[in-house]
Amino acid sequence: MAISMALSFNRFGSAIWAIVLRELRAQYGDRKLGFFWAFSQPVAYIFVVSVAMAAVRGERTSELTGDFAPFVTLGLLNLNLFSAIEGSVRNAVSGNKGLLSFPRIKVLDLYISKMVVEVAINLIVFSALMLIFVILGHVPPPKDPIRFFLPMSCAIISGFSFGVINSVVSSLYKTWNNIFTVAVRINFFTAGLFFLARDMPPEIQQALYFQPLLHTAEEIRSAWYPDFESQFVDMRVPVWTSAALLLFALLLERVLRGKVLSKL
Amino acid sequence: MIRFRNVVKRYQARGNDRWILRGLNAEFERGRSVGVLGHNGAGKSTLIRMISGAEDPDFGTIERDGKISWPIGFGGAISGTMTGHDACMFVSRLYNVDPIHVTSFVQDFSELGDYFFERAQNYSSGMKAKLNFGLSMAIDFDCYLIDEITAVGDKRFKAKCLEAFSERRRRSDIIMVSHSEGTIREYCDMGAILNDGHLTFYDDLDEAIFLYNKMME
Repeated sequence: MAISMALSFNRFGSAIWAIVLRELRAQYGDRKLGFFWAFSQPVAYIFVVSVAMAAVRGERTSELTGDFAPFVTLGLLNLNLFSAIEGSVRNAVSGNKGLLSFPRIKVLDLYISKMVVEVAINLIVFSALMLIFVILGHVPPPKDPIRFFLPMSCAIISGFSFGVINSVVSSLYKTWNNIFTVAVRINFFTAGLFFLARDMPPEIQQALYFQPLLHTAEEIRSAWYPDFESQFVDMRVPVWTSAALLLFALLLERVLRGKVLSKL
Repeated sequence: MIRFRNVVKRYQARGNDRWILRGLNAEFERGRSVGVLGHNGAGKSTLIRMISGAEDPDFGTIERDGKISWPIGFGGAISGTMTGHDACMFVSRLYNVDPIHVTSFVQDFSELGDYFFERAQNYSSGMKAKLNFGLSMAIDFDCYLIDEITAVGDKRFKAKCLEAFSERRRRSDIIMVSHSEGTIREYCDMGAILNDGHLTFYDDLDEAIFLYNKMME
């Protein structure tokens, strides 16, 4: 039993490692500017949102702690961990069905590898950006970095779970991707990318209580900024939501795996 | 050993059930190489994919002991964005084997020349098959799954493949799907016929081929 578990774990580790390196090479290996492209999208995003915020608020800095850019960067890290992982995991099987011909590669390996790649890229990119902001003096160093772990884990697990659910559902119902892509845009406005919960009217705050990504964004910012401690955060919301989503996603995947594979 | 326990597999085609396996209980034993015969659409490739794990049964389980290859002859395992070298590195990591050994073996065996460092999307189907075949020979599998090997290269390369397999067969088995009676005879020592959801094994390969030919008349 122990030997079989060890062999299984060894197979799992080798498969994940092989797919992750293959994926990184496919995404960045052959491009002339390689990893630069990983930075280009979030930097452009941060620039546009920061400029838009400054224009709307009529001043260059947020009342929180300084420039808008690091404020937006932390919000985008939270949102991107969810959306980049969801998108990548969603296409993990349909885009790599050839890999399933290898008996050592299982469907879950594809999902997990995609998540690992996205987590690694996002953490490297956003850590580098925040480091630059700290060095340039646009933001103080983080207050309590260990507190990042829980909200980021919730965003990652939620993204992964939605990715798996969407992968399964969209392989059976092709139009599902279009519906989800439209529906998920609400996150852009509700996940705290460019606002704090306390800035919202009480009625809106009550509605936003059910947006787990706003809790994780507020927790990440509370962990970073020395003078900010969100009163809105209730980490039970993202923790229970992500746990329930993960359970549902894994069950759905297991139950419908045969149908999904035969549709490939 | 590969063991099927109550394995059921069927497809829906235009509202009708197409049976691949109707509750198969069978074993592919170690030390025997099996040629699977069946008419077009009987489900031979699906059977190979199920053994490889790429497709699940609708019901029942397939137990596998030992290291089983991916379906050789099917080029889909190597994605178009990978070069031959990338494919070697990938397979080395996947099977925990020395990448230098795999790379030099495959480069030499597949005879791809400079194409070895080109993306597979620029390969002909024959080149892909050569790479795939070279890769599978670089790893010591206990059982090789072969889905129509006839596409691999010219006569000389086919002879090279057969020679490599002859050497490998001392310690490895083969499960092969082919329409070519000659190829089955070259690689296998027993036969099986897949027909209408039933897989019947024949210890005597000649008997299997005779019955299959009769069935096809």
